[in-house]
Amino acid sequence: MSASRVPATRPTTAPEDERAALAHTWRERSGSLGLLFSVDHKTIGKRYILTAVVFFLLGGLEALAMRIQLARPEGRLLNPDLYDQIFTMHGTTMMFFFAVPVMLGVGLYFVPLMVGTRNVPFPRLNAVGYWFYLAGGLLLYGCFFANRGPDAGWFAYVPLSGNQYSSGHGMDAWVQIINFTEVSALIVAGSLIVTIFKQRAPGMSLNRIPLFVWAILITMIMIVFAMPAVIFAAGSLNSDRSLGTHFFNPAEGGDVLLWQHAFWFFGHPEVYIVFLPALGIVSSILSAFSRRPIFGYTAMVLALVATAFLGFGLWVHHMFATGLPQLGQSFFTAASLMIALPTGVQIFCWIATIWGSRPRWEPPLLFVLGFFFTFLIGGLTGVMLASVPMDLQAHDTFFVVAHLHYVLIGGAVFPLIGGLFFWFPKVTGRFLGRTLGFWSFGLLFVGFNLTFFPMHELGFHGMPRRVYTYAPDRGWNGLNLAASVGAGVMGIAILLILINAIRSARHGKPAPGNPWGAETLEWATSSPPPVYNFARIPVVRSLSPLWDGPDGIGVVTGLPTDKRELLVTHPLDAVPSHREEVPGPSVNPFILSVIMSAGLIGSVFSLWWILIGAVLSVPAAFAWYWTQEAP
Amino acid sequence: MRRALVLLSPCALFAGCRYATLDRATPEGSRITDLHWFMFWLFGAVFFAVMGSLAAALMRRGGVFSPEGERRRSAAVIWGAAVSCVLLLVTLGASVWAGREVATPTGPDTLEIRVIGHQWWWEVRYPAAVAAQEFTTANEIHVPVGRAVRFLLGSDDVIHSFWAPNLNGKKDLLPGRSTTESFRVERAGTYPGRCAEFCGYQHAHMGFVVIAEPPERFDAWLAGQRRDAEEPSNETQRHGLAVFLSGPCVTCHTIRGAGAFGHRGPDLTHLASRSTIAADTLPNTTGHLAGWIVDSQRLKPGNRMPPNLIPSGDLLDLVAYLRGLR
Amino acid sequence: MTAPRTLDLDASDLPRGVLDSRSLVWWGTIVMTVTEGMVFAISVGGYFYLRTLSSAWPPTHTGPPDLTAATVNLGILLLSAIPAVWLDRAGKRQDARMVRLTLAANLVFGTAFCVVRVFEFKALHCMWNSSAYGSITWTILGLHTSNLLTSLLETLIVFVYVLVKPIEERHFLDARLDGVFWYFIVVTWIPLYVVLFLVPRIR
Ligand code: HEA
Ligand code: HEA
Ligand code: HEC
Ligand code: CUA
Ligand SMILES: [Cu+2]
Repeated sequence: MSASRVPATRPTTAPEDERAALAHTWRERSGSLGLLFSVDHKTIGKRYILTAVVFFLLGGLEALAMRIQLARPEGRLLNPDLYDQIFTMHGTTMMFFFAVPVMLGVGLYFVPLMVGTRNVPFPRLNAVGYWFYLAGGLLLYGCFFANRGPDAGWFAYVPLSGNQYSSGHGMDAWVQIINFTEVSALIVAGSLIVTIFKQRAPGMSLNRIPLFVWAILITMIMIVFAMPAVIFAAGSLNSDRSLGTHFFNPAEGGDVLLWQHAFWFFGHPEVYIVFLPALGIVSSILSAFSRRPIFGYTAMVLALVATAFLGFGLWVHHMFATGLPQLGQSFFTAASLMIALPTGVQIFCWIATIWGSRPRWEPPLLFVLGFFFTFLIGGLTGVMLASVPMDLQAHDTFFVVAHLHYVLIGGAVFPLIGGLFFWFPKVTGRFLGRTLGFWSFGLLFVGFNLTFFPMHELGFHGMPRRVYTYAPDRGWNGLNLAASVGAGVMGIAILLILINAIRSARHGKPAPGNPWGAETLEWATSSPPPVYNFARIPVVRSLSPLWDGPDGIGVVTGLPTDKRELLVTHPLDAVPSHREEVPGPSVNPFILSVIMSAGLIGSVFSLWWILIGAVLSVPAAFAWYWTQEAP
Repeated sequence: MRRALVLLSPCALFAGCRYATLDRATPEGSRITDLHWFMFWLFGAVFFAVMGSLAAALMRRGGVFSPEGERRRSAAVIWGAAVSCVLLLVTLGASVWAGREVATPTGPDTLEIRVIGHQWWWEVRYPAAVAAQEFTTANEIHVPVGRAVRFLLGSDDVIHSFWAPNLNGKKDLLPGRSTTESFRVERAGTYPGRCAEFCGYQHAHMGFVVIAEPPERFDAWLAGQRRDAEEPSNETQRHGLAVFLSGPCVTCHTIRGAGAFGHRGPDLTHLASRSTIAADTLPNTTGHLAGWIVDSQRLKPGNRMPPNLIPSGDLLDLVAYLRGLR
Repeated sequence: MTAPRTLDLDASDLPRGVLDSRSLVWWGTIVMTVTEGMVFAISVGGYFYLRTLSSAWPPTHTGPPDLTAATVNLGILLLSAIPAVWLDRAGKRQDARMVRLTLAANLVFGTAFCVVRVFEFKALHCMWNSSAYGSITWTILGLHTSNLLTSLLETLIVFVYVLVKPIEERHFLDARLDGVFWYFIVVTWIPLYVVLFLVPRIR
């Protein structure tokens, strides 16, 4: 069958003058000021990814600090105050500023390419999303470096996070930070949901959507339904702190568990918001390297949907120790076990895909195999935690810390790095160093397991999480030392990947349009893709168009080259519906974001800033609307 | 049998491993340990099965598409799903069953103890039919062997969590809500316990001990605790008491019968009967007491007791008095 | 590469910029309203959660809210649906005069509603900081108000624009979307009215 797999790259072929015209029409503002005008989904996506990587490094450095502190009993590096800030920063950074945004970025960059369109439907709004994310990050680290960082943990349980026990601006800032990230996530969700429903290449009916795109679509829908819970939670915590409301104050009819319900109703879906896109990445890599479509497409899609659906029904498994009624708890145990099934089915389908395909041993594949190994362990410990009696022992111990890193790093970071090696050629036009790739995988895999496997044991030895130190006679010393050494090894691995990326971006081996002989549309254009993505919008007739032989892909002719026009298609069968013009570069998103961010950030110090921000954003909104016309 | 499993378990790889939480001294705890090992072996098997088939998939050569192969593949996936279903149901069953077992039957003879969490120490109250017989202590909980004990948990400030790993699972102490935890200790002994929910700076040093003793010893202890504080027996101690009463101590500490009624800190009436101070942080010795009183912030940074500038002479007498509070 | 290009197709005669539910902005608006709706749903969930925990809802010293203002506002809002419908229709017909008129009407109704809203807050007999009941009630009412204000701002912008500038096709779409978002505000107010003003009267 490989015979029929002549890489079909016709969508990039078009007369020179036509391509020049497109390049002119879709160009970004040049010059350093032009950066504030960008509205191209690839630019914004790259910004999300790069910023998220920076935050990952910061979070990682915080992790190293924690590991040094815990390497020996009675550690002296950090005092309790600083340790509390650091693990809170670590969790907040990794969850809200690395894991979710990096997935948003990957989605923003690749979804339009994979569905064969030229930009997201609301490019300017999309730009606002990124600016908000950036502002949130600056606020978070501004506070931290002023030694006023939040220190109540990444889920900030009340009343500890209330102003009676966490006075000072750290927690106020944390609340606003959550608002920033949720706004940016919702904006991206809006952009991508509409992109996926309305801008798919002609012929890409529902049953021909790449699994990665399905994963992103479902994730974005989860965002729409999960974020409101944290909007509510953060809002009420904020007003409890600064307006004297009583949502969480038992004395006045409030309740401390209301926070936990609201937070985890968002918080559990959150972890799948991180996880599902990673599954999409795994599918993309596996089909490319085993050179066949993922086995059981329908089952895979249904599994994703089921996971998302069930994901909203098990938030209470984070609250077993609060002594809710037995029966209710058993329900959430059952739900948590049930979710193992769709995940399992996907794993089985991937194995069936690999079966006998003799996949090519390249770094991306290795990281996917690493994903199988580590995520499986994390998933199984998750199932252990889902059992109430078991959880009442393991809850808030390092066993949970082990679980969450096995699933987050195994389930999200390994696929992400695999994706990095997989898509780097597409984004930069150059390969990442292969040998260095093998080395960084080996080190990361060993370092990871050395760091986090002992933590299971530590949990059973009764070591609680979030302790800044421990007594020497507890029998925890050896395991902690092992974990700390492992963290160092991970650090080296990350450093290698960093160096590899920086070097290869300049001097890497040049990559053709479709270096891996993969099947989805992002490979049908040049590497890196032109600003207009495709000289001509592709038309597809199967799930893997690039494997359909020479004429596997048709093209759409007759779209104007002098206007930023998108081809809009029918949400179900993707037959062309009409053409729509989208706005081009503009500084308004930046201005509006600055004003609103100033309002939110200011509100940390005085609520009047909210009002000021609101008032100022009125003229900004006018300006925005006035300059709506595409240039 | 369980011993064997213990030895086989992966932690045998790690040196110096004391089965802190898996060696359980209560029926509740033992059920949890059983569940633990059940899951450990079941999921271990699942892990190796899945990894094995992955390895096979990678080794296997010549996977040319054929309708036959397709059919075999889907059969395999469906089988996998089916088996998983069964195993998950088994797990659910085991979990629910263990959950039932852990819920201690509490009868009329159940001993009730009220535990109130504070940043960062435990207030322990032993209710009694007669108000005069009620008393309060701190950080050290005595229970009779072989009798069901029910803890009524509450919090004075933030959320804490009551956890004695060898005895039973944890239960949160929630402000504005009351929760309970119960178990029956079968082996006399001293069992460590600690706060499991992050509660601020000294979450790391919010421990307690559960001392399970034969009923008669327990009753003796009760009787002892119910008595008012020991009278100072000599000049030094008398002066020590004076220092205590004239100092800021009284604003926070109670010493029954000595005219100190503070409530922001632990009850010191029978301080000397306790083996540790500051929530299982320091051994209860003259030296540590003195050090604690002068500058507790150095020993337990951030705790709610301020340093005290006391002339060394007074300090020694004060400590001598406190050491006398049997 | 000379095989018959069965797949190619020509887009030159496809319609440009449609004014109905096929358009991208329309879908964007839907996603936004779903999000907003979810925020309300969660808040109402919180409302009933607190209610089931409380001994007296509302607290005895507060007492149930007065109905007059809220009911008047319900009336205003229901009436305001009429110009919203006309706006929608006019937008579809691309009838500039009618669009300007109905946008104005929408602004008038909205403003009237806001004025009465002040009295609704008064009618609660409690402040946001007097009890959990007050907190959640003020929050939900506040959320609805803020939606209202943003929608009014949107309307105002479009209105001013179509007054001073030549009106193009896509402005008709924006006008219609104003109408759509207004429907959302009307529709959400009905259950919120019941929750905030009738439920507290259930003993
Ligand atoms: C990527 C993120 C991610 C993922 C995918 C998961 C997946 C799962 N998690 Fe995890 N979880 C977290 C991130 C994640 N978790 C985080 C961050 C926390 C801590 C939050 C905090 O407190 O800070 C947490 C905490 C957490 C708890 C609370 C622990 C506590 O605080 O006491 C629980 C309890 O039930 C739980 C359960 C589960 C379950 C059942 C799954 C399941 O989805 C796993 C399903 C997968 C498998 C089971 C493997 C594949 C399946 C098969 C091969 C089929 C055969 C399997 C069987 C027959 C068992 N998780
Ligand atoms: C995706 C999420 C994610 C990721 C990737 C990680 C990564 C790591 N985490 Fe994280 N962790 C969480 C999410 C994550 N964590 C969460 C949610 C919590 C709970 C927080 C809470 O309790 O509130 C937690 C808590 C947590 C704890 C428990 C703290 C406590 O309870 O007391 C520990 C302790 O060991 C830890 C360690 C680590 C380590 C060693 C890594 C390593 O993998 C890190 C590897 C990376 C590096 C080592 C950095 C590499 C950088 C360099 C080499 C320098 C280059 C720098 C420049 C060029 C500027 N984490
Ligand atoms: C402002 C309140 C306050 C004052 C004043 C105060 N203490 Fe304390 N004390 C505490 C608190 C709170 C603790 C518990 C600290 C902890 O364990 O986190 C404590 C703990 C102790 C303990 C250890 C008790 C135990 O069982 O753990 C001793 C002994 C003690 N205080 C003695 C004194 C003496 C003597 C003085 C006067 C010189 C004094 N305290 C003044 C609040 C106070
Ligand atoms: Cu109390 Cu942790
Ligand atoms: Cu969860």
